[in-house]
Amino acid sequence: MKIQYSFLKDYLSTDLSQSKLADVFTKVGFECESDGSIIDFDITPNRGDVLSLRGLQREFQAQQSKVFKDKSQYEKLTFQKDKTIINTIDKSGCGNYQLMLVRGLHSVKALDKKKRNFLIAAGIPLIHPLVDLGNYVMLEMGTPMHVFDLNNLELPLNIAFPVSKKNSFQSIGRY
Amino acid sequence: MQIPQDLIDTATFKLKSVQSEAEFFQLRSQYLGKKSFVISSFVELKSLDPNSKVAAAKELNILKSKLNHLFEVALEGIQAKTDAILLDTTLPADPYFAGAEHPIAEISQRVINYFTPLNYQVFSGNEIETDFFNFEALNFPENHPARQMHDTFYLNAGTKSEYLLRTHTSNSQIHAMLRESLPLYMLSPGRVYRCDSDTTHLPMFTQIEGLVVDEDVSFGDLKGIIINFLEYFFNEKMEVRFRPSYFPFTEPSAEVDIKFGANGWLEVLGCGMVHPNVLKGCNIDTQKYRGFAFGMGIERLAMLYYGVDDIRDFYSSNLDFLNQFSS
Repeated sequence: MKIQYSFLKDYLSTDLSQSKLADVFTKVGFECESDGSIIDFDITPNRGDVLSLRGLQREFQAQQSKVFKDKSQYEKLTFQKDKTIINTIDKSGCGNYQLMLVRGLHSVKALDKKKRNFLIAAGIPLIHPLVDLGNYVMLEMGTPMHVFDLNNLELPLNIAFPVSKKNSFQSIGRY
Repeated sequence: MQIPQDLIDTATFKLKSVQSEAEFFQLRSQYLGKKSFVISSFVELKSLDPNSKVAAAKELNILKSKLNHLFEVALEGIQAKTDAILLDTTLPADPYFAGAEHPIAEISQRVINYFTPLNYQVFSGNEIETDFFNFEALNFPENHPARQMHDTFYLNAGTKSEYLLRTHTSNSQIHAMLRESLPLYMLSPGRVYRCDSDTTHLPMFTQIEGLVVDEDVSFGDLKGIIINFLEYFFNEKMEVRFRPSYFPFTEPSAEVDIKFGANGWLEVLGCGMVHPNVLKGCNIDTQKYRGFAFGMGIERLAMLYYGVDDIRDFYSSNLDFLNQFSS
């Protein structure tokens, strides 16, 4: 996982230098390699919970013997089942799936430059302000997220999370 | 037929002046070659009448065998003379290349030498292994992302063969636990295969696996033995760091770094307490027994020990390189 040092430093509110910060994470068990201003974290397969800024923050604060303060703000939303949007859903391969439909967007503001640079450094190309926002939230919170263009979808949707190779699928985009 | 009587005498006389083998063979062909008097006379015998034919043939045969004998004796004399000239006892001897142990074998032995006095048995494992022993029994379930850490060579690709080239020597842990009685102290050196190649990685390399299963072993024992081993191996007091890591077959797992240079750390081996799932799979009572395991790359240790920069040098069969290690 590639994270820009300057962005991470601000996120963790720390003054540690790049090599010192890399040392901290290496000691905790995530080997780091510095490539210019980017730190590449080697997250072991048993620690999917660290694959995000929030995950790194948790580890960092535990290492520094500090209490983890969740920076995120939550707003309670109520979800309804709507047959005109989701027809069938097979959640056997996924614990929790939520879909939000946003209509009536006319103009969308691009992410600020800092976040855009952060995404590029992470190896995620900029596509559309909404997609970029989804990708940013995914990298910050560690929750898989995707933004679809409603014009390219046909309602109602049939959603499935394949669990076996038999009904596997080829995902779009880069590996 | 007229047979010259002085043939033997002239041959004897001429032989005395012969100095080299070349001269000798030239002379022999004069007397015993196809065009020589004796041999060509045998052809002439056909035209003689039966009575004189028998007598002449007898005489010719005697002459031929006398000449043969004469030349044989002379040849021995000439060869003895030339050999005596060739043997010069003052010349330096031919260079003699003594074989030596390959550095990798030597390092393996050095590791084994530390552990055998501690009662570790040495096991050899299978290089061609089934998916079960290489992954399944070591707590790598199918589709587990940890399998991706090993770039595996499968045999008979495309036919969904369950055979593969082992990616680590940890497979011999399972064989040993299933076969041997407890407590178990084992060591298993051998070749392993991964689809990877650069200055620090090879598709084939050597590992040594260690495993202890006993009633009262702890991470402390593991730490002690690893630090002690590294100090024995590098023959100096060293700063060692245990860094948390992840292997599916050990919990907790650690990677061991040694201090290298001013502030650099170098990873030398991986270790941990054997995961209960692995012990259970081998029918070991996890309430009674615990275990620890460690594995190290011999090439990595050899590179550090000898100060070699490129791992590929060990297998390039370059004698200039290898001769540096023969002592």
